[in-house]
Amino acid sequence: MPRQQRRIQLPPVSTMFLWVLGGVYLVYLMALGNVLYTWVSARTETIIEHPVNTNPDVVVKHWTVASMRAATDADQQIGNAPAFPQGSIDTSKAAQQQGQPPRNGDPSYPLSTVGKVFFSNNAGQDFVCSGTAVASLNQSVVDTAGHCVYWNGGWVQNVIFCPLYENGNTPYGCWAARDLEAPSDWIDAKPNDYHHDFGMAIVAPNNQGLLTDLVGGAGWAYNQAVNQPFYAYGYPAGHPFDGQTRQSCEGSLGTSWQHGSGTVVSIPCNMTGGSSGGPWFIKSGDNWYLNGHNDFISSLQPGHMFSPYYDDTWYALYDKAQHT
Amino acid sequence: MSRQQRLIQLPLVGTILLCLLGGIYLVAWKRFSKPDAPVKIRKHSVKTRSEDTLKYWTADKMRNAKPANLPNVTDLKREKQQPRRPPV
Repeated sequence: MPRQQRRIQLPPVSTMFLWVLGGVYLVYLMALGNVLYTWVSARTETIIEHPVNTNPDVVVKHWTVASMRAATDADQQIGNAPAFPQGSIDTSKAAQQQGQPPRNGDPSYPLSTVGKVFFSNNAGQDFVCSGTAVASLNQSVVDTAGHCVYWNGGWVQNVIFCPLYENGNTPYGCWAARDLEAPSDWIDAKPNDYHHDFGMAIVAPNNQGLLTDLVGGAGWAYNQAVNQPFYAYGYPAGHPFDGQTRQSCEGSLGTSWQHGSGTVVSIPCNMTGGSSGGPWFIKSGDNWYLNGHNDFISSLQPGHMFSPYYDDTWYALYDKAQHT
Repeated sequence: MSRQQRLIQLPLVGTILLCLLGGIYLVAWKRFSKPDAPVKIRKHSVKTRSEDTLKYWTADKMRNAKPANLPNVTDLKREKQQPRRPPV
């Protein structure tokens, strides 16, 4: 055999080994090709231009009041937000959804989604928290703190949500919960671990209709960057507040902390008891997105309010709630 | 070089190809073979009729409801790397 031929000839064992590896590789590519394609193509954005041929007058005439009302909300689609590497926070799966304005166009939207959550504990004592009506498929989801729906080893009772509460007045009435939900991470949490202190109430329609039809549903976002301005709201009832009016802490940047077995966020805010579960919004242009809630305080950081970081667990809870 | 030695020795091209395949396999395995553990959600269905629950909450009861305490936590540690603010 000439020297040239011998150099490119593989020994039989190596040849077989390479064939096997090649085969495995091909099977792998066939199985995961679609995933890989999505993975790669997501990094290259293509802009396609589509000229509209329809006469503008015809388009405007198409949109009668009835067809506008009957139109499906395209914002139900979840849009991927840009990813920002940050500490232990994984923003690669960040997502957000725009809010759903109320049917009557209440001018106070999106703050019309904020309200008080009343409940009784197993001993029959009455308590109050805060909460937010969230844009959802069933139009009936209220976001709040986990400790406002499940506390001391039991689900709370007599839960109602009263949006736009002010001095005993509730312009659209209140909605009673038909289901309560919380992640196992909260229910089985070790003592003093609030990093997944999420809770949601799914409310039955009241005599005026579905919750978010009346007061709107707040947009939401999760797996977001933390050092951006937050806008917190709630009904603090502990001194010096009396719980009769909505209070706010607006525009301070968030700071992330390790707490328990996860991440939490803080902002400067002096709201007191009763504000638990009240929303933290982030803003992008004119859009507001729920991205936290009043949850706990710390003597290590006086004058600050903390929220669990809204991550995949929050989304899993929300998704379950909107399908309940 | 003995016949035995030549049998187990791979040529350079084969070695590079094997390393390449091994690398691709490792990267893909790391990315796809560890799916996040599914999040468990607990649900509690309320047995009381919503009308009865709404009736329970009189104006007096609402006004006298105690504020749920904000838990006070001391187990906190600053994240080392502060995240960047996303562009608006």
